[in-house]
Amino acid sequence: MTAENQVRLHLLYDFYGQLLTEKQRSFFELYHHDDLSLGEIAEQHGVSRQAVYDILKRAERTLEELEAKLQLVARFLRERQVVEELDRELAALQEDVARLLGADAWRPAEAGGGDDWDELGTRIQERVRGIQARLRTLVADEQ
Amino acid sequence: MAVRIRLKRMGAKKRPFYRLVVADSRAARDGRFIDQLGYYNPIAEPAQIVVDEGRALEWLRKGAQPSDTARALLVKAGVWEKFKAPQQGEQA
Repeated sequence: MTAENQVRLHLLYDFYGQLLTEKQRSFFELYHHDDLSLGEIAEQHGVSRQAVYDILKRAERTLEELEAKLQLVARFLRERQVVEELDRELAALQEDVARLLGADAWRPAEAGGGDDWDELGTRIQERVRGIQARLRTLVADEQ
Repeated sequence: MAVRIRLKRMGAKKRPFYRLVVADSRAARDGRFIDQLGYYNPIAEPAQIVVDEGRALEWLRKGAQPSDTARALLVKAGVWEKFKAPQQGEQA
């Protein structure tokens, strides 16, 4: 299993792990969180390697079925991406505001400073509108 | 006593973070480990892999067995290749 697939499976487990049986959870954590081999788990629990494999496979299948129906992980990843974008947008906004405040200080001395100021103001308004639109998509996903 | 190189999951729920550790094959559950070789952060864009190459090679040469996932990370970090290269040289 590649590391990427493993990370996905672990996310599924974070969301739906509580819906697995106790034994499935225990084996899943030994195998996936502690990275034990099938043989090591089998030895520790006095069961066959095949039994460990079957229980893990059934657990994975259950997790995938739950995700297919509920899509909580997909939504989580989507929302996390939007939040990251918003974070970047807000940082850019903060820079523009800082520039605007700086502009206020030198503006009287600069003859053509006024145009820059207007331009900055327009850009800030656009950024705020963009952020509001992104925030609305988050709320829309809640339905 | 077998020594293994494993990926140990740390971090919070829904914020996974993995440590690459060297541990005794029998004492896995209590979280004790012998040495830490690096970490893997899948949340960073792009995913971050940091491996202490010198120590990793040292453990591999001592015969520490990496798990499949740990080996995949060592391959990505370019450490596995350096471990394999001198071995093939000896066989030739």
